[in-house]
Amino acid sequence: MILVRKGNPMGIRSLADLNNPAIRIGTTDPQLSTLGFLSWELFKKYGVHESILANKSVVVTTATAHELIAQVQSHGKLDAALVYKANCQNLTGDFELIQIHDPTAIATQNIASAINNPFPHLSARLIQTITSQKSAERFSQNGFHWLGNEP
Amino acid sequence: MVFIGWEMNHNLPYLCSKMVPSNFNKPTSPLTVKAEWPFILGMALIAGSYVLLLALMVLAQISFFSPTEMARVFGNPDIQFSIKLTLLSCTISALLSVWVAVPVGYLMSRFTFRGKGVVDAILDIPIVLPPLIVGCCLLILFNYPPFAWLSDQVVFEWPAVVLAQFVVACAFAVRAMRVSFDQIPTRYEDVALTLGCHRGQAFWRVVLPQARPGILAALTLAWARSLGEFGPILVFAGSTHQRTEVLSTSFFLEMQSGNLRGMVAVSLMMIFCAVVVLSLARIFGLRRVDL
Repeated sequence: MILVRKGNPMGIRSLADLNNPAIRIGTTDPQLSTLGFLSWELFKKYGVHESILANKSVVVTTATAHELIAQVQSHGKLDAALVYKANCQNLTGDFELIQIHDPTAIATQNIASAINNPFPHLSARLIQTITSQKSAERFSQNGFHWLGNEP
Repeated sequence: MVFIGWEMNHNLPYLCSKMVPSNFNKPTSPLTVKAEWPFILGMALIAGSYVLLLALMVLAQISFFSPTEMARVFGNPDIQFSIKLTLLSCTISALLSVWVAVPVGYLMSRFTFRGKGVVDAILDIPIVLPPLIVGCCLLILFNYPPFAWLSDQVVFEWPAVVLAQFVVACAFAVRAMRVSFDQIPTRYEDVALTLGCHRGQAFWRVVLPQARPGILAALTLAWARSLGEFGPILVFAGSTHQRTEVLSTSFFLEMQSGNLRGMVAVSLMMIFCAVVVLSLARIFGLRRVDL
């Protein structure tokens, strides 16, 4: 998601709009965070990577998305920040989220158990609990999209 | 005191007999000298335990030292930038801190005014507040004029690093300077005033030279505090590689990537920097100052 201020004053509609040198962007650290890595991969995919580097458009990188969101909320310098939808649960109405329609923009969290796991029954019960309907509802309430058994 | 008062108070012989121990004129027995050892030993044990704890902490770090990792860390352009920015920002913030701490410390030491208690409490805010809150306060402050006018040049840029370090380090420098001025008797200053100096001349020619060890102590303290500053920098300046990354945030970034050897390498670099600077400061005449 691209997090922008209410009313989208910079007119950002997609990643391609981040070419604009006037737009100041915040991302998570591509070396430390999966979100940061995916964000920079998307920049490359949409051909804005070079211009973002040349314009020095990314004015801040943080270790986590919540640090980034706190900075967006505390100061008006950032025009756009790349975050997960699930990170924005506590945001007020002063912000808008622009969806990025690309498979790379979706981080899928899998669950698995090792074959040589010494506690197979315990792990099975854990997986059963996490994949239960009640758990799915909890995840959905917190901004996640539940895939379940979808391929 | 007893003998000075002899001619002034005829009752003194009686007082003396009450005040002076009966063995006052007897040579001190070796047993009395030996009796001091339990006290000194107790003090030494407490002091030694603390020093030992600090030394063991450093040794524990060294036990995880990896020359390969140190070479990798030193060879990393991000870390090289981080070292340069750390040394530069700590020096600037320490100098700024002393520049502000000298007048603040002097005024707080020499003058009594209405609301002094409140001012004193305000000066302690950066010491009392958790560092992350200081960073958050700075970030929000720069939404409002006149700070907002400098927002583009400061927020998430290297001046934010200096400012974040300065805000906290200056509070410690002010404390150091105030203690220093408190220890300088006002008598010399008063004599200078009676000999024709105005207040400014008395300050520059009499007070400031005497405060030199205190200034050096405040400078060292501010530099060391700036080196260890982390929370406000993370919030106010971010931890962007080649832009606002200093050694304390490098440590955090290494921790976030789960690299223990890298963390140890960065922390040893910080310990080395701190030891070098503090030793140099002591060589330049801090031996006489106790804060």
